[in-house]
Amino acid sequence: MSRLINIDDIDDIAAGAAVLGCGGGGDPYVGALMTQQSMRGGQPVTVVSPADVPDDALVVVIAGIGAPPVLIEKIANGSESELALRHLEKHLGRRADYLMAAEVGGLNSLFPLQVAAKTGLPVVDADGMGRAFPKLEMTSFHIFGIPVTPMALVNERGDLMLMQTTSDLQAEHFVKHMAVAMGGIMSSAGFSQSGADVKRAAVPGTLSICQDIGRALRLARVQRQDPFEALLAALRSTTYYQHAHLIFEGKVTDVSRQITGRWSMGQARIEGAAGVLELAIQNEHLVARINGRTAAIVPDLLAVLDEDTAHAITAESLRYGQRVRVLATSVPPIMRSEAALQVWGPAAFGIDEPFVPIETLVARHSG
Amino acid sequence: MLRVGVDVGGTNTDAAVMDGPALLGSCKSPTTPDVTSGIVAAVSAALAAARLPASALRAVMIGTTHFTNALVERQRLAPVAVVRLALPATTGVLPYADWPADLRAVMGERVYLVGGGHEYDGRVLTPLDEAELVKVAHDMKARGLTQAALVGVFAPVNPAGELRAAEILRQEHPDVQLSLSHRLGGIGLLERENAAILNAALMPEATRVTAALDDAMHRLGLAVPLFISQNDGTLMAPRQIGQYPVLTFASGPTNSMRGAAFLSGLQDALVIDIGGTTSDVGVLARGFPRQAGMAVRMAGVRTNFRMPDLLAIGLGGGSRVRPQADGSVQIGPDSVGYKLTEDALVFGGNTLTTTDIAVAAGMADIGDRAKVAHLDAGLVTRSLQRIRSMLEAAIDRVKTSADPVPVVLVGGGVVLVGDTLAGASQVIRPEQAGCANAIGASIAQVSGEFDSILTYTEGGRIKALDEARAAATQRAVAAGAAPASVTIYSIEEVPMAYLPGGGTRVQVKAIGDLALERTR
Repeated sequence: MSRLINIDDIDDIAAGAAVLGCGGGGDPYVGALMTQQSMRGGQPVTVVSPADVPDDALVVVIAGIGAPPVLIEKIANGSESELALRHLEKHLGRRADYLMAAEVGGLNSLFPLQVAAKTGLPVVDADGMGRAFPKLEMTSFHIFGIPVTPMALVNERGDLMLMQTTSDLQAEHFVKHMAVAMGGIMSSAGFSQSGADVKRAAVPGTLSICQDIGRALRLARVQRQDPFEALLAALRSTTYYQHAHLIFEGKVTDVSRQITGRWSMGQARIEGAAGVLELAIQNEHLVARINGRTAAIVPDLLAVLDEDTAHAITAESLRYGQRVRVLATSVPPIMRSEAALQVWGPAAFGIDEPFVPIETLVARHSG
Repeated sequence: MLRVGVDVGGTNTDAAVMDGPALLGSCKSPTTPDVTSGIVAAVSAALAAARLPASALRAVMIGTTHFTNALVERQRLAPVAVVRLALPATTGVLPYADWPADLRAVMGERVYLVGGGHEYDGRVLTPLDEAELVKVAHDMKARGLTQAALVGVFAPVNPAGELRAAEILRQEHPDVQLSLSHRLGGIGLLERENAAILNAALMPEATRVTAALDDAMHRLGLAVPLFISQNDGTLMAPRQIGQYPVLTFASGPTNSMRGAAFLSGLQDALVIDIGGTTSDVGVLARGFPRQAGMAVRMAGVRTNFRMPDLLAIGLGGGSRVRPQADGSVQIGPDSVGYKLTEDALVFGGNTLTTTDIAVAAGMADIGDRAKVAHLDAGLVTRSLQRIRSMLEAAIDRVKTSADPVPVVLVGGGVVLVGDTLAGASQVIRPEQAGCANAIGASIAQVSGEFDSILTYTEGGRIKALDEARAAATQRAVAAGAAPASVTIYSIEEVPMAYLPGGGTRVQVKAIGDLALERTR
């Protein structure tokens, strides 16, 4: 099955990507404007279900790597990702048949669409996590043995690097230094895989779900309905995010941030009628504790939503005084497997407690 | 120190003559199209009320919504060329993206993309293309364009590119009026560029307003320093209004909140400014309005202005009151606005307004009470209940803790509210609540800001922050603050995610008292 994404759909995808970004992955705003500009001079984008991708097709994953705050100032020129793709193709000796997102959360939901609008290549309706995560190895591709490299990296000057590493962890180790050397932000093409790999290793349908979430928010606004009800309904209609709960409502009363190594670590405190919610952040929201009790934990999805619009607020934009609601949902089953939890479970972020699914936590606390 | 604060609103011009903390006289008078006459009339009447000659004044502080209104009305705006120093970066999103189509048309959409800009750590991204800038200047001249927004990538970290480009453009095109982005905001190219465009568009009008203000001063016989209110509740010198008119955006509500802090003696409180059409509800933190954390849209354009975080609700002294079939009462959101004195029942009109309800309830003595004597007592009670519940809902939304907080009421519509409100530990209604905005203008201080991305070297954070504090302090002094009075108001550090050693965005704000001796 395939369908078209038009310029009018981009704002919906950006709004959905902000929710799935779990506070990280960068504000999709600039990515949406870039994609819309490319679509104006290009073409609508064809989106294809993973089931319809031929097993022997070449699928390339497009993603921005680096610091989103750099991108909001030094905006890309719009040709970087395509250059990275062409460079990788040259190295592989083969043209790509499809593009795919690494993460549908945050800015990276939009980069494949931007390249697709310029090149005419179709985009697979899937990604590697159904949310956003901060490291290269934190993808379902890695878990299923599809390597990050060869990966082509390009910055706005047109500097090109081709990376071939002995492991995905090495690739992560290198890109953090390359991101600095390349000027803070770069575009990548990597995780090259076959259609058969996509069917086995990707999280299918996430781009459509992302768009559905954004559409639900927009329609609620237009029809003057409760955006939270609309959002919950959209999430609950999916198998991945069906256990969707608004776990807290209140005002942000404290935000603290510090850099630890490469990571932006932080805590936010939200106070409301039900007490205090404490949010631990490492680029993305990791764990929410209500009155000291764990209420949701990574890899389950945690989003902080504006009280008026239900639009997601990035961790960077969390500020004292904002009125918010906190959303927690389940994630695709592929994300909760034993192998997956080793890569992005609480322990991978240094949190010394086991992963407990949101539906269990909700049942436990209401029971 | 004797001074007069003036607030030039869309409808009224208020003036308040102040001596230190004491209000000596005030006056409300209609705003005039030429601005000048309204100011002269209000200041003269306020001086008369204070029984003082104009010669007693030592300073004049003016707050105005003139530029905000010009933008909202799409009037008095000049076309603007955007000169972006950025190639080969940023072409993925061109200037004027995400602008309302009508406003984009007014601006003319002339865009020049030039090699230049800096990296996040201040290094050069691309050497400035000076030859291209010369061509830009000549092309602008040929097209009769005089206004330009000059925007360099990471100019807040390193303004050298914008400064050099300004030199070249001015040399080649002496009539050019430039708006340099690094003076108008921090990180966020599009938002800062938008601010610079709006600023450049308003500069010709700012020149006219500066002349009008000079004229008003002249007609009042005043030869003392004149200051203009900015949106953060601090002042700028009049010379600057010609350069930075956008910095006056939202100064009206800010002045009201600052005036409320002053009149109530409270530094931390919730303020409700009840105007003719809307009420603005905001939080005072240490005497200043808390600022919005998110990008703010001005007339549909996304900017990163420092705006007070206000909740506006459709309740004012001119709001229409409509009894419903089910016995409830609908209030607003529409209002008779400035036509209150013609349309309201107490003034002989035919429209039932909130002011009529307040008069009927005996809470206010405005117009002719006999004209509302016929109103059903039940309707009056239900209307007052509705007003109260609208305000209480707003208080609950804006408050940052569950505990009751003091609530200060200011603005012309304070008569609509009784003595208690749910969520309020006390309701304070200062005597001069009607001219809180003019008083807020008169007590304003001056500020300096530092907003940049710093790369802390090993153990260098303390030193880097000290330098940031010093830079903010120095900018406050340059803006007219007495050096000894300057204190650091806020410091915010936001590390750059995903980037090791990639630096931290540091924003520091310093505030101090006006040093009049220096400028006199």
